[in-house]
Amino acid sequence: MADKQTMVVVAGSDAPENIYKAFIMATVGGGMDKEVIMFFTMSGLNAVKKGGAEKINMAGAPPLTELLSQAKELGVHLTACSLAMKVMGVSEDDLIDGVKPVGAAAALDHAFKSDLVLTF
Amino acid sequence: MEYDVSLDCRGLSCPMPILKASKKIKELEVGQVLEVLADDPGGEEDFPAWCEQTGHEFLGQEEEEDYLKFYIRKKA
Repeated sequence: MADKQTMVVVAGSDAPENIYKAFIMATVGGGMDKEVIMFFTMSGLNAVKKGGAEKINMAGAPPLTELLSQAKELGVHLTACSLAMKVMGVSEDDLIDGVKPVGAAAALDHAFKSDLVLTF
Repeated sequence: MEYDVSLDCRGLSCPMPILKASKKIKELEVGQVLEVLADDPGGEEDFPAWCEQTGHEFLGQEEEEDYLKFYIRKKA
């Protein structure tokens, strides 16, 4: 498959009902062999802080840590909003390995080039 | 239906059956058939949709009393 379809998933909240939707769609997209970029902004950033996913849970759903490790295994690209990092006082060292800080222009560039953008 | 590899996803809820199937099918040779046992109510729509998006061939499903068996042929 030379031209992989691409999808961007914006995770803008750490409320379980939002962050779970973001991770489920991103991991299944990866499982469908799509190129997936997750963009964590505002409180959604908490899911990719070290120890952050452990604090978010939803009864009856798989642990968020499991979905996060599935996402990494599937090659989902994890990006973090640099402004959210600043306003929330989160340094690069506070983020789990493999999360890339990006600005709004890079996030929009990904979105314009993708086949699908989902926002949660 | 005949199959080469079977994957038991009974008791798992969405999205785990699809994630486990997408991982398992990478271990198969092109042309081999994967059987997935699942009882998540979304499976009946999910496995054909996953095949539609990945290019694998959905061969059909068989019903047992409290779960379904899905058959997928791996494509290149």
